Amino acid sequence: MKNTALFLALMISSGATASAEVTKVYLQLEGCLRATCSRKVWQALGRTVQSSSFKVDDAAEGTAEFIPAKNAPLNLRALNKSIHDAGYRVKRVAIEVDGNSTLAVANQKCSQEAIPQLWLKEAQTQKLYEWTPSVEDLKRKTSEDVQVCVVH
Amino acid sequence: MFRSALFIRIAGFLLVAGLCQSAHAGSILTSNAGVEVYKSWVVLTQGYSSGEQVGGAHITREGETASIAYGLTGNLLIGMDAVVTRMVGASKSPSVEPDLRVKWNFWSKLSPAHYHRLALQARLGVPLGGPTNYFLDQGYVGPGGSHLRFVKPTVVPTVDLIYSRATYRWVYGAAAGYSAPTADRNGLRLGDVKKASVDAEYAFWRGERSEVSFVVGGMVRQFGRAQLGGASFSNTGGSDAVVSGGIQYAPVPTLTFEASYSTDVWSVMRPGQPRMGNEILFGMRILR
Repeated sequence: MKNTALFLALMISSGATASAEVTKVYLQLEGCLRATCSRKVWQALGRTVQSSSFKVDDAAEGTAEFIPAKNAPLNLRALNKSIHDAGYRVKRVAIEVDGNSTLAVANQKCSQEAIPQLWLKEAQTQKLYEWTPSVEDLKRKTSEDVQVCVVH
Repeated sequence: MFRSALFIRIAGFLLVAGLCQSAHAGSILTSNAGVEVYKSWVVLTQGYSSGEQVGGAHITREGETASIAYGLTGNLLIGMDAVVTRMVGASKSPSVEPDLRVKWNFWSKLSPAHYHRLALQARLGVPLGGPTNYFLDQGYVGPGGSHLRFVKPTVVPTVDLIYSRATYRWVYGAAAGYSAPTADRNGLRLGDVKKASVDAEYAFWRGERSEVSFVVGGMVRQFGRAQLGGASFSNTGGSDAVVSGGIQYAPVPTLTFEASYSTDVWSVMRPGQPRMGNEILFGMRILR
């Protein structure tokens, strides 16, 4: 996809230590209602977040977004575990990356049961698609420069 | 109700603080199945005053509860509480009743739009200072000719099963609990207490970070008979039902204030069992 490419990383896979190339992370959380959720998820994310960028829409969708801290690695698997330990569940994740990213997610080992549904972030339009791509879709998207890890 | 200087100070502090700031997710004055914090602290303080009547005696129970708890995980919380009580009209010294508490949210069903949670809460209280529990025993003559027998259990184990459900604006739930005080040093034992309660909270106004909610609740309790050496006091024990209503204000996610009023709406108490009248509570919760 264009300059701002979309990277659909299968978060819990492999301990993907993403980098500063990740410009924003979107999470759809289950059980995230009211202000206590915001507080607990913020605590769970810890130093991986630029605190001023963190916000949770605790309405029906339970959507959280944040910009990763520059100096802390963003480990998507650890992120998922922390949020789970905090009493919530990650249903979908999307990461927005720099278009020139060399983020290597395609080779990560993913397992279907360990991964929340995929969630595509269209960086250009800022629109979130509630769509779970099939493996075929992933391959197609991969060919369109959207790198994802392969779901087995 | 507000006669004691202690209570006036407590209520005044909480009210003034309430005008300045406040927290969320269920009534702070009623246990819910959630764990408010994760690897962090929650501090709750509340002041209360309630009227009681037994025989011809009217006693006002006033005091403050301070709690501090730590969320080990999102599902497990440990806490310590201390209740300071002053019995106005009973000429007893203030009591301090510390306890240890563990709450385990052992089941959750989550979705983006709502959740269900179930939790078990176990508490072990250790009463210190003057006794705060009593009943009327016409065959007993205490100091000043009073027929009130005060009892201070050695420990008070309590267990609660709590259910909570939340949607965007509603948090509501139910709880069932059992408390079995041990005997005091004279072998006198208060009756056990079984209770069931429901509560609901509706956030009727939400700002960007703040929130104001109505809180309502109801509770049914059954008190067992007091015992001494295996023999029970036949005029003790009974059942009652209490309803409550209040308001909660949370100006920021980390601070909540709540005020509520409770009253006895149904009571089948035996003559020696104290009967609850009205109660007013103010509470403040800080998440750290």
